[in-house]
Amino acid sequence: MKIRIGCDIVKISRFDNIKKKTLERIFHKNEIKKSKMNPETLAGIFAAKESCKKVFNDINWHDIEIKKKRNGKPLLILGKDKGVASSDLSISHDGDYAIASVVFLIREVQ
Amino acid sequence: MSKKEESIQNLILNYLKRNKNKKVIAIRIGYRTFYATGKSLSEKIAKIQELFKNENISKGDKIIIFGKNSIEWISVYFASILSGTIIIPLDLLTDHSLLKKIQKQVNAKAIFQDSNLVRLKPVKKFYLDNLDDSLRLLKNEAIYSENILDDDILEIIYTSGSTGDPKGVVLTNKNITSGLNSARSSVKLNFKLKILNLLPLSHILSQIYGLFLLMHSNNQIYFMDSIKSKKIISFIRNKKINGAILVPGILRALKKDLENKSFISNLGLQFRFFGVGGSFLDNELEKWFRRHLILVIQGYGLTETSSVLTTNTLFSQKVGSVGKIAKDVDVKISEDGEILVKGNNVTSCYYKDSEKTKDSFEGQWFKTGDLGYLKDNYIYLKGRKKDIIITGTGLNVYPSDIEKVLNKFPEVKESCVLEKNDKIHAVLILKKKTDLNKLVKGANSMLLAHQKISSYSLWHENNFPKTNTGKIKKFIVSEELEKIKARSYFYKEELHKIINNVLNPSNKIKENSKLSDLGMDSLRRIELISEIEDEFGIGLNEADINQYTKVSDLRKLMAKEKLEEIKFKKWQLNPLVRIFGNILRVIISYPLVFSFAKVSYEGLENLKDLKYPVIFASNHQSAWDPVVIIKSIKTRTAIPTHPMIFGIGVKKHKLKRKIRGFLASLAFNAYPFGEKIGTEKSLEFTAEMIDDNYSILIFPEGRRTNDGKIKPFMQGIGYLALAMNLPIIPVKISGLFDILPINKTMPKKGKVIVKFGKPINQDKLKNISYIKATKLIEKKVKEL
Repeated sequence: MKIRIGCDIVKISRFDNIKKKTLERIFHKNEIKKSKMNPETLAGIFAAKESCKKVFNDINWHDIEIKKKRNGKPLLILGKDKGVASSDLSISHDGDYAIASVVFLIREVQ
Repeated sequence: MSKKEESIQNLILNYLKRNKNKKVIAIRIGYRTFYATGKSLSEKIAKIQELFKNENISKGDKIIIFGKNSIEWISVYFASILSGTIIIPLDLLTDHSLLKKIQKQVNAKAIFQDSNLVRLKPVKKFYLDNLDDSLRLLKNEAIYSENILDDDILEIIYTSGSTGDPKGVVLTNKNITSGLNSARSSVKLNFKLKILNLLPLSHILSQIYGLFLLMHSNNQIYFMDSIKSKKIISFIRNKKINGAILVPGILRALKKDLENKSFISNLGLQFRFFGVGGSFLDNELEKWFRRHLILVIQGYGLTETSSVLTTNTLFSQKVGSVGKIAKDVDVKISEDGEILVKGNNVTSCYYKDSEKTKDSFEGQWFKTGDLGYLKDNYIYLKGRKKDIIITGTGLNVYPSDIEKVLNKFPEVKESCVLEKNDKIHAVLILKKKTDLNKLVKGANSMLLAHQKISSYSLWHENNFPKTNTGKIKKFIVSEELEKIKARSYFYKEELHKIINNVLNPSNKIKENSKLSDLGMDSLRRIELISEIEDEFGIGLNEADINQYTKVSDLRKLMAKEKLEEIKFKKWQLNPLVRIFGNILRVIISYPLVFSFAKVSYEGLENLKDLKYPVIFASNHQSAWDPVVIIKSIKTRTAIPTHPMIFGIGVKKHKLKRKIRGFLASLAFNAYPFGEKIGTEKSLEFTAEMIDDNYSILIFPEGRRTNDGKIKPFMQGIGYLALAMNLPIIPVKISGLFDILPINKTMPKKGKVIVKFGKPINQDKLKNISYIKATKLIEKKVKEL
């Protein structure tokens, strides 16, 4: 097993007047719908996805989906098989910024 | 065909009756094309009429239609015309405050709108994209027409035009009918043609020329939800469209994409004409298309005149003129050079605005606000009256005269001349960098003394702000001019221009500057990639661009990634080809495969009540999988296949692969699908197959298994499932791996089981991502 970690921070105001086609490149349609275009939520999901991309560099935006569990904790789903045994994600906002960090536990391949 | 003074109501009723079982209207949404027959339209319209009754919307009441072109839009429009309710069709760009203003004026009883557009709270709303839900519970009554009089209002169209406040143009049934009659006499389309209407239906030109006129001559009408020129071109080619109606702006974009390319292989032999209107079309553009034997028909008119005033066709054309005055329309020129119009097609008033109405009429003559002159029944335009600049010395200057001079310079892309501090100011968009001072001096030498440009500036974007018909909004340009600081850098080169627009760097862009130094971060990187894709049609891989990438590296990447341009091959859907392919299968593939494999099928009852087309998703054990599955499916199928099979994107064995690809297309209707040709093309090809009623058989693992186990599914199936709006049938094959696995050439004998699962319907796929959809389908296949 190997631990991999990634984090990212982004300014929330960057998502105030973002173009639709840019949004659709980053987020799934249901993510956009659920966020109700709220810049804070979008920034949080973006930071989470960007953290994953820092861990796996051959992964696309649409290979990552961020959902919310019933208790409000974010949930990370990967669309590509990366040998992940377990993962955890945390997102936080304060003032102008959103930050996210992810941890992956990865099975070593022989 | 029918008598001349046919009312719009009769036109609609007869048209629907005449074309009961024919596909009359087609609309492309996303990747799929949906068709409506006369019968299905009538049913929808009848239900909407029933809905009007239930909601107490009766003759004379008003409704707002606010959405993109769709079959529902047309149905509500027709239902309203037949029921005598007054329609207020709104432009898609209408914002909340304007919507509020308009509603305050018209007091509509209901709004029929797309759900993603701005909403007005207190008014009853029906969503066009979900209209079937609102109609489901209504009774099936017959379609009917109220007794409608000539002077009853049919619609009120709000225009903002190229200047200021919106005004509601009242158009009666008489106006529209006579507008249509003039259109009929000047444009004759009495063959069965397929015509693409790219104008929003909220626009009068689109209604008269793009709908009623085509209905009258029984043409098949196509709409699409995109105005990207690449998509338009492939749509025209794939659907064998004969003509298109559009605004000059789109025509210009089409020219850019067609330059130095074969018209026949891009648009097809059947494509013959463009109908252009809405704003002024420059001669060069028209001539360019005519050189390629494409006819360009130009019209001039206003909403206030039910669109038609003059039309210009190949047979009646004079250089510089917008055309010959239409039948039944009177035109004269006032003393100060303004074009005045009289006729049944001219509006009677602006809605609840007697002042504007009074201002716009001179006796019975309507003042168009356009300046021009008449010669032998042809109109020559000089510009908008309101745009006239009166110089300090009291002389009149027509901006269009000066713009014409400026536009002749090869360096100038567009120009806009307006007044600034009582002086003539030119705003320019350039094609390439040039000495502006010299250019303006050159222009001035060609202008009269009172026309000379006294100051100039560069516009900061690639285009001027325009109305939806392509006229420059001069009042916005002059407002913006006040705000803009002088730009220190100007880029002539396309890529530099894009980088500058997206990153807006403080230092100058050079070939060896690093993108990260220019201000690129991960979010801007996405914007940059999507702009590059829009402008050049090149899909870049994000991972290839990092903080060390220089502008020159980006250029290299673009050269490398330039997608091979692949077109959908219509030949393989030709019925004769398909019959031949079926014969091939029956005499070669089936005997071969079934002599080795003893196949038993399970779950065939799941296929019984299916409405085809559907998508079959199966695991991939062997090259023989398609044979055993297709044998049991009683519908026509197509197989998305790795582009490599067709020799796409490979260097070695290209010919051998091409032959194999050809045979696969012939016998199994295989077509390229996958990252190598891009998501966009993959989905487009699939949609073409589905539109032609072919079911899709896809192997989502992407390759054959190497150990007999089911590999993780690739996301292509998720994209398909969400984009195509069809049920998915999970299929599981077992046993074939032992007969003919990958890397073996000699088959063994054995038993094979093919299991069909229960269809996964679209309601299970609503509101989930590609990832979830892929995982769901993978689970269903594995469970079998």
